[in-house]
Amino acid sequence: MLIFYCCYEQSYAPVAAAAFHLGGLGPGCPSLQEVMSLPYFDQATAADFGIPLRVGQDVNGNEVFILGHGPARDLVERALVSTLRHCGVTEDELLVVRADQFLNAWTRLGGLLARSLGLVGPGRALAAYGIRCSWQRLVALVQQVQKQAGLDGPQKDVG
Amino acid sequence: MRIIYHCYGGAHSSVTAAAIHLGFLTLPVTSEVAIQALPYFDKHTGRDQGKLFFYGRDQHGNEVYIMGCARSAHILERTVRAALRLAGEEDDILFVNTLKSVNLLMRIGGFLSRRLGWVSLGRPLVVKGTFRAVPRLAALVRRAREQTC
Repeated sequence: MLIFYCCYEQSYAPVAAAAFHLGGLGPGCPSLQEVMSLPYFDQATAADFGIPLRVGQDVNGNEVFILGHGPARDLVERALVSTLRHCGVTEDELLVVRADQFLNAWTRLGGLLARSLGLVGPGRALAAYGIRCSWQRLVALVQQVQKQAGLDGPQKDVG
Repeated sequence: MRIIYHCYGGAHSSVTAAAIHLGFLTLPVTSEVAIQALPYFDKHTGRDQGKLFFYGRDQHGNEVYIMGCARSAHILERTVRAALRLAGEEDDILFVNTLKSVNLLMRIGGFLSRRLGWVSLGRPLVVKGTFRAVPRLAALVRRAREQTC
């Protein structure tokens, strides 16, 4: 299955959701430092809008991606799904997960400071704080996704 | 190779250009009825924007598609290319923006028919506008063909 965690920018909520999905973060609320040191956190630019970035494979073999849709959320989702379907990928092999709901005022403000005003240090910390504030809801969503992706049963031995 | 004709809504200029490319619309177009009868002409709604629609295969084996991209063609082009790579397919695609050939009559008719749902008022206008835009669209298709043959 292909799983896409999407948001306006892929830099914050999708990065955290994907990290939890792949086991990089546990269900307990992570520290600011843990969030800020996630790969791809606060890295994407407008030039990355629309391009899914593969961040890993979970223990069931599902491919996990992060995707920033920019100002064209519905259109990017439809373009992605319809193109993949033309290539023979079926509907049940795809999961597009909207993480926009976890973009709270702290994350937005942090993103603005870090990406637009160049205040990287305080901006990243604020964005990470925003992720911490949404953490329990984000975990609940990812757990639902994992259930859909067959990760709720006994895990495969990957050793 | 894949050729994607795209415009704002994917309902008029991109449909007509794809039809010209595939020979569904014989040039010179002498009747507005032929335009109105094209598959997908003045059919797509806002919910279809962003979707890739297969329109046919030309005599060189190129697949011809239409797409409505609203104002986000630059983003959607990246998405389509990335999705093809993801599926293990070649991303040799030609994106052809047909919006440059759209005239005022098409814009007004398209807005009335697709956005406001006033089909009986908008469709005759957009058909008339498309009829007038055919030479420009045909030139666009000719250039696209030159790049793909």
